[in-house]
Formats: sequence, structure tokens, C-alpha cells
Amino acid sequence: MNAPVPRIEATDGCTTAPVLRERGQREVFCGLTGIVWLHRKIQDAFFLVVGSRTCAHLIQSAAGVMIFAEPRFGTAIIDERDLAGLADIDDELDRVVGRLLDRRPDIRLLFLVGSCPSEVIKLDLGRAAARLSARVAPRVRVLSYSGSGIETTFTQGEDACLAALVPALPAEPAGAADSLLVVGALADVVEDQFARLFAELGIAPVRFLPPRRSGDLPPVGPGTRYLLAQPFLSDTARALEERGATRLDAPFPLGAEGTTLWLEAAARAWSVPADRFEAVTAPGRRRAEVAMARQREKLAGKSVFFFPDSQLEIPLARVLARELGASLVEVGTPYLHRQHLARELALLPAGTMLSEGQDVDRQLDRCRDARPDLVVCGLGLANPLESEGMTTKWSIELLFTPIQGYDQAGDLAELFARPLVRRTRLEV
Amino acid sequence: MQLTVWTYEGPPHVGAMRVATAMEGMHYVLHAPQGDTYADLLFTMIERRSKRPPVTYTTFQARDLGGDTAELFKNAARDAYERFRPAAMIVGASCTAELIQDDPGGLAKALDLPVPVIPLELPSYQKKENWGAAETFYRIVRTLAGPHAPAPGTARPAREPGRRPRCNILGPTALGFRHRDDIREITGLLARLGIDVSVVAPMGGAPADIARLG
Repeated sequence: MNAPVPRIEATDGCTTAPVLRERGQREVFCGLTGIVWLHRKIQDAFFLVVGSRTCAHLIQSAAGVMIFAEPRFGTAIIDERDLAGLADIDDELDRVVGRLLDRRPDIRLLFLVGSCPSEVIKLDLGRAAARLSARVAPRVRVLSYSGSGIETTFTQGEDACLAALVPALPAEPAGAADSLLVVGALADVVEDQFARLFAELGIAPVRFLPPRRSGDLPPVGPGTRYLLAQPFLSDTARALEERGATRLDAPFPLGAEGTTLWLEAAARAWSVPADRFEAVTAPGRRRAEVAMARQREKLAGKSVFFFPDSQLEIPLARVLARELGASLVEVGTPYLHRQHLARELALLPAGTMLSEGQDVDRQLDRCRDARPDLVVCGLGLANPLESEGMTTKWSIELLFTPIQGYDQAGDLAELFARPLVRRTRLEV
Repeated sequence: MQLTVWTYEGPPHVGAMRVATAMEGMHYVLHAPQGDTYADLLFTMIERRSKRPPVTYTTFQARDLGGDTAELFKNAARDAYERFRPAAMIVGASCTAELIQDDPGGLAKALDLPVPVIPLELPSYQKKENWGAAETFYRIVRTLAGPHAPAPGTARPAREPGRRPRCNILGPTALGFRHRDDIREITGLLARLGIDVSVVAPMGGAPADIARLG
């Protein structure tokens, strides 16, 4: 085997660390929120939430939507006539979808997105999607997934969406060469950078899920090796494996180290020679290290507390601890997928306090006791914590900003450094 | 079923939040699935309040639906009282909890908490945010001021000589457009007219203030 980069010495890190599991009020978004970035990524898809006024209000609030152009998401609001059986809910849905597709000929892929109310009344959106697909194919493909809060937390909505796409992927033709599939929504700029790096490494073909246009669904089959670009894709991974694909085990492409190890996982699978890997990755790695070094001065020695939000917490904490010199007070995650995060856990400093799930009031008590230098938390907690004198980073920014890859490593570090700098400026 | 790409009003329980958040010493226990906590950010981000809204959500998940969501609600209500020690509580359901019919009002009553607990019935599939705010305030006033209200038709005692006329300002809520400024402006205008303001509610009002309305 090639060993393109020196292996990280085999410590256990947090592999066997205890995890505080909490059950209580969870201050998190539901999976519907994923629509906010997914509709930008898949540019000819429409996301129709089948839910309540609350769902419509959530997406609007979370997205901060301004209707300058017609957005590619909406809500079919269930009303009392549907619930009381005065209207046939299937007919109603067909009517709403028919009207939508008539008005929006640009839509090529329609997701019916399940919500808490649609799940509780057991509205079968899978069947509705099949029925509607038969009517509007081949112009439009109709799929369904659930972004309900009773089943999904925030980024799990993307997982559910991508998992729903997997059965629609074409089969890789028999005898096709091995292909690499990068799974998880990335900013287009990041995707382009990775595509260039893989090309320089001689890895081909490389495809991305989700695609930018629904007509470009990547084929999948037993020759598909896939790399997860996001840590929250357990259902998608399972669906891909059912189609014969194999996962390349890697940390996530955050920071110089994570990006190198992530690329290395693919390089190993394609037996890229060590010197070539070094030649291709060294410039990016150096750029990342230089960019991060500037922020490291501001972050070294600072204590950081993560509230659970996007499941990106563990990889982000790893970057903060290993590349930016910060110390970790508590790293909360809504779910801990031990298998997909095994490499990440091994890299986390031993003794890091990990928590899974949430009881928000108790977690706030711990945070107040610890008085960390920086709190990474959701929008519902940030301003109240600021008013208590703490410095916060909105966790949602880490999802909406391109942070993966070498050329974004400096931006990632700066996202954490900025609130600290701002507070210093305010204090001077 | 109605296709909606833009909604000016949220669901009625957000109206109830606007009332609870405006008040002092009031706490809202909301039976709601995980994710409904998004509404907090309306208050912490849009209105930039320095405190979280006084709302405890049960945040139930699918795995709870097979079990005992009613127990979850009772624990949340009991813990919320212990932690926040409000002077009064409102309890109710969001759209999904309405469907599972756990009866938050009845459950909270069974807890026998030492403060007034006001059940809300806010039909999410018929009504919207402003209606929810109005209904919530009405229920709070009915419960807290009702027992002290004189019977209909009772003649008002004449104002003591030399005492300035007084009025209440009712209606301003959290997340209301310019409500904070309006209170200041209207109070000033009234003062110049020689009129005192007794109670402002819900904004800034405590349950004890509501009790002395009338």
C-alpha cells in the first residue's frame, strides 16, 4: 500500500470515551430546514412540504426568505377540512401539485416532504409520489422524504432527501470502471476544487451527490466507492450500500488535516503513488496551514463549548483542538454515529467531554458554570448568552458557509476567531 | 389543503408565545415536536431580546409517540415550574400535539401546581397567529381577573374627587411592530391629557397586574 501522508500516530483519542446522553428539551431545528440549502444546490428541484402553518412559518423564518423571485419551495398546508375527512386529502394533494407544476414548467424534480402532522396522520407520501410521478413523468420526477421533527433533526433532512434520491440513481453499467462518488451537499466552489484535486490525482470518474441538476443523477453500482463529505448521512450511506457501493472510511474534509486524510482515503483506493499525492496536495495543504496560522494566534488556548446542532460538531471540534490550539469544554451533537465518526473520534483529544441529545436548560447550566471563551450554538440561544457576557458563534453559519477543503480552511478558522476579535474590539 | 409560498402570520401558538414573552412571571409549556423551538429565534434574533422566551417545549420525537407523550408533558410542566417558578403558567399544544390529543390542560391541572395554570385551546388547522395571541390574552384575563370582576351591570363607583382619571393599555405583545415605542408614546400623550396608566399588558404585565384589571 502507498502511504502518501504520515499516518497520525495511533492513539485512541475519544474512541472509547464516555458520552453523556441527555433526554429533555432539544433546542434544534427539524429536518425541513435542510430545504434552505438543498433547493439552492439542486437547481431544478422544488420542495413541497406537506404540513401545517408552523412548517411554512419555520422555513420562512429559518431561511429569512425574501420573495424576489419565485422560490423553489412551498408548503401544502393541511387544514381542518382535510383532517375532518371533508376533503379527500389525496385529491387535495394532487390538485395542489397539479397547480404548482402548471405554473412552474421549470421544475424537473419535485420532492413531497413529510412533516410532523403528515407523519402523525399517516399520510403516505411515498404512494402519493408514485401516483403523481406516473402522471407527470417524464417531464417531472416526483420523490418523497420526511423532514419531520419527530424523525429528523436539522441536517438529517438532507440525509433523508439524499437517501430518497438513491433508488432513482441509474445503475452503473456492468464492467464499468470503478468510480468515486462524493456524497453530501457542498458549495459549488468547493465541489469544483475537489473535482480538480481528484483529477490531478488521476482518480476518475468522480461524481457528486446531490447533483446540481436533477438530470445529472450519478450512476451507482458495485464499482462505486463513496466518500462522505458530511457527517450526517447515515441513511444515505445505507441506501448506497444496498446498491452495492462501498464507503471509503475517512475523517471529514475540514481543516488541512481532515482534507488531506479525506483525499488520502480516495488516493489509497485508487493506489495513487505517494509522491504524486504529495505533489498534488502539498500546495493546498500549505495554503491552508498558512491561512489557519493567522487565526491560530487568536484561538490558541481558548475554551470552546459546542451545543448540539448539525452533527458537524465533532469534526469541527477536532479542527479547533488539533489545528487551532483551542481547548474543548463540551462537544454536543444531536446524534453520534460511531461508525462514520470513528476516525474523527480517534483524532479528538482524549478526555474531551462528549454529549449526545440535549436537555437545553441543564446544558445551559453547564455552559454558564464553565464560562467558555466561545460558545457555538443555535440562533435561539446566541443573543441570550451574549447578554450574559459570553461570546457566541452561530452554528448555522458553519453550515451555510463553504468551509470544506484546503482553500476554505482559513475561512473556517476565521469563523471561530471573528466573534472573539469582535468582542475584543468592543471592549477596547 | 392550500399551497403557500409565503405566510405573513405564523400558527396560533406563536401568538401565545408573543403574549407569554411580553409578560413578566408567565411561563408557557408547549406540547410540541422537536423542531418547534425554531420559534425562539423570532424573539432572540428578530426582536433581539436578551432572554430566551419563557417557553418550555416537550420536543417529542417519533419514538415517544409509541410510549407516553402525556408523561413527557407532565414532566416538562413540573420541571418548568421548579426551574422558573413563574407566577402563572399557560399550557397548550402546537399543531402536531393537537393531533395526538394529550390534553395538556387536563394533564397540567392534575399536577396541582401552586400557581394558576391556564389551558389554551388554539386550533392550529383553522386559526393563525394573531387570533392565537388574542385568544391567549383573553384566557389569561378571564382566569386571573375574572374572579375579581364586578358582576355585569354593576354601577361603577364615582372617581374620588381630585384623583386623575386612569386607564389600561391592553394589547402590546412581544414581536409586535413598534409596540415598545408605542407604549412609551401613548403613555406620554395620555399623561399630557391628564390621564394615568394603571396596567399595561401583556407587555410588561405580571399575572398580579392582570388580576387587578377591571
